[in-house]
Amino acid sequence: MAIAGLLVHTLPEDLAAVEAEIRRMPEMTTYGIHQDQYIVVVAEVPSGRMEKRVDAIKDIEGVLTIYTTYVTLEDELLGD
Amino acid sequence: MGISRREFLKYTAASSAFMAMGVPFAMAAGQNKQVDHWVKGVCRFCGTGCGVMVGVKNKKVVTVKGDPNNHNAGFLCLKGALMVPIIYAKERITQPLIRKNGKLTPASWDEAMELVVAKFKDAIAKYGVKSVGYYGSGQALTEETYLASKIFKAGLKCNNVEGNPRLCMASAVGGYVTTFGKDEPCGSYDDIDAATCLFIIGSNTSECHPILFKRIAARKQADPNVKIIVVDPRRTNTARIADMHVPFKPGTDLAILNGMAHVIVQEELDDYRFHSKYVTFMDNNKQKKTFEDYVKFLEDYTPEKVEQLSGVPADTTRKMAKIFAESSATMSLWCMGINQRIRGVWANNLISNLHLLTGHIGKPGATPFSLTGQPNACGGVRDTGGLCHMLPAGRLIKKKAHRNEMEKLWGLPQDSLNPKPGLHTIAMWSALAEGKLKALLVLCTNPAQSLPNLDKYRQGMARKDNFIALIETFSDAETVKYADVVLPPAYWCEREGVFGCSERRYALVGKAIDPPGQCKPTVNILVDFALRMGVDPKLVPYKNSADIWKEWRAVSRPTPYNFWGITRERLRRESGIRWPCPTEDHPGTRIRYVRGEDPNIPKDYKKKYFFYGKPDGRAVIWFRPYKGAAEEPDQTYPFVLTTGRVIDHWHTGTMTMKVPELRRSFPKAYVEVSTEDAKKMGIHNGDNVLLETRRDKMVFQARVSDVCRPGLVFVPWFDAHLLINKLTKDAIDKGSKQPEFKICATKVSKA
Repeated sequence: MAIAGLLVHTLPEDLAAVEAEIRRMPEMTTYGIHQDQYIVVVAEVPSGRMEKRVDAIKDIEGVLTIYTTYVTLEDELLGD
Repeated sequence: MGISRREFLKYTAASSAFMAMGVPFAMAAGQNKQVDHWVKGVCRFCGTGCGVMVGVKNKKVVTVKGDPNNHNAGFLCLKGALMVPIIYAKERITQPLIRKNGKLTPASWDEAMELVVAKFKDAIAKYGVKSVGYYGSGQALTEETYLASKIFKAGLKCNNVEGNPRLCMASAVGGYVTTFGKDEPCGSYDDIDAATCLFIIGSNTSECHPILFKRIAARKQADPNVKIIVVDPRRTNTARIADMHVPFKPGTDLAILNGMAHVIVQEELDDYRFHSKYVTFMDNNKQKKTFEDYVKFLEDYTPEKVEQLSGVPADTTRKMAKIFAESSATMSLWCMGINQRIRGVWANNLISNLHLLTGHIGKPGATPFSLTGQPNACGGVRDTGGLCHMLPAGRLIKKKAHRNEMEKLWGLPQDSLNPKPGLHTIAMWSALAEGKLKALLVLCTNPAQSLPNLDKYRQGMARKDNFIALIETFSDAETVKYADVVLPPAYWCEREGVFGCSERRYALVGKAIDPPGQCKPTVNILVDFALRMGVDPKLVPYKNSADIWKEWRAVSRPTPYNFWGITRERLRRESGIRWPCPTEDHPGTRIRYVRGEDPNIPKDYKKKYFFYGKPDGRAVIWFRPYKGAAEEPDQTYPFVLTTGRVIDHWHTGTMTMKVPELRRSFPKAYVEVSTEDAKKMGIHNGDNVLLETRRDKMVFQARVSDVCRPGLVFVPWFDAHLLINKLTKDAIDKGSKQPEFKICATKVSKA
């Protein structure tokens, strides 16, 4: 299981809708809207599916881009 | 309070995002507990040069996060954050390999090095030093490039020293040198935060430099009055945040830039006081001219005439020019769309012209600024002189005074350096194809995928009568197929060294872990090579990269590059320092050529600006005429083919294709076709489409969208199974010798 910290950069007019959409995704936890442009999200996804889940966010109308601030693959690399 | 480890990791992930925004978060301090230690470094990918922190646990790298103290303020793009699996890829080469009976087989270091040296010595004995060479990379460390260049130029007296930055940055170098007299940008990333107009041309910043795009978007967010102009034939993601997206007919950029200058002088939006004091006007024959001559030269570029050539409506050119000139601070950003052209140097000049004409230079937010493609193209290759015509710190081989200065610094007899520049990249690979180059050492680059018109040069690599020694990390890199010997280097954070990014910022990549198997730091491989070749041991007295760094600081010291104050100790302590930096207490330089900012200018210098790269202290506005592409579309080949990157892959994909998340995101190359063209040809998403140029043909799956303008198709170049460079053209800029990857003519049909 990989855990990633994401900043979702969103057009201001779509912020609320995008945040609501992400909240509906079971593997995502949101940490609020910040500076009128970012949504802080933590993804907990098996690394094999990370890209698909992040892509699903990218596809939401109003999302400009996603910045990854952190990824840990500790479980997979150390096998604990 | 009891929380599970998973909860803990989640808070850590969230806190990293908060820290990246500069918002305090309670769990931030807890981050340090989950790894044994953090090592400071720089991302391995693009030229943005983001600072990273590499987390090590049980002697393994387990995580990478953004360095909050570097310019990226803790942010990383997805590629950067996912670097860990690449280190542990199953394709890592961990012992030397020698080709025997057509197959690469394991060998000892001694056996491999002896073979390499025997082949080089044999070639030199039979055909002279002109028959050997070195081909390096903007991904090698600064110390590695400096050393390789020194071994060949000073040790072997061979100037056949090149590198892949010739394919990406050479035109920017040519542009800066002809306009300002010295290479590298005047400004820095800080200018993004102060600009009120961002003029982006020939750069898909959002996909190629995502962290800078973030900074640009944040600037616009902070001040809605900031204007963003994106000039690009594709409607990229970068164009989505622009106030003006200006698509145009590929290859007409020079006309558009001259058209903007025409509007600026006609509407008197120029800064006459600035250019009359600090600018020389010069025609294409290097003859001094007047401002009035320039106005006359621009008569050929009325917005109406430019419209006929480029398809950009005359009013749009007028509007762009007005926004550019009237903003309080304009910053231009460009990349390969400008550099990879047969008149790339001229295009670079024309961008700087606009800044010199309007005085948008040398003030916070006002600067021309080229973006780099690789993590150490500026650093390693441009600054330390890792090309066939250069010596370290902006010195030139053809200038006797420069050679003599380097001879003194390197402890060589006077006039002992070879005064004849070597072969530039395309000439070098052509010489290999023609059987003139017999032995080549290639470091940290993948030319069998990255050169244009590949078939021609791959045939050269495949010749049996030459010898290629490759220092390469991954067994599946295309060039490995053609190597006679492969030497395994320590990768990225497995050895220490310095990267220099687009904004003249140098930062240390710390050593986090030991390299696997028999891999060695490249510095040690190169020193071993030199000693076995019989190079004077006094020329290569280095145990590690830190020893070389010390010498490089001294070599740069008498020049305006001046790295003297950037000590190893400071690099360990700080997250990057921008040269020039003459003393240990100097903070580094944000803005060059301005008194009070640039330490190369005496404090009592009488004027505010001093373009000290030019004899008269004035920068040059060049009269550069419009020139189209080497291969324009015609009736037989009616489309323009352009190539580039996608956000999740980098260069030839040897690294990013090893990350499952990235590989699945873009598993293979595709062709982007405009909705309008697709409709005409009956092409739908996912259909097979045949592209055929004068060089080769290939089938790609179609992606139909409104990104490309009609008449243009785009293919990304990361895919080793669909080598788009077999189709691209190897025409080069006469000045910079950089190939025109961005434009060639192609047929497009449903396959």
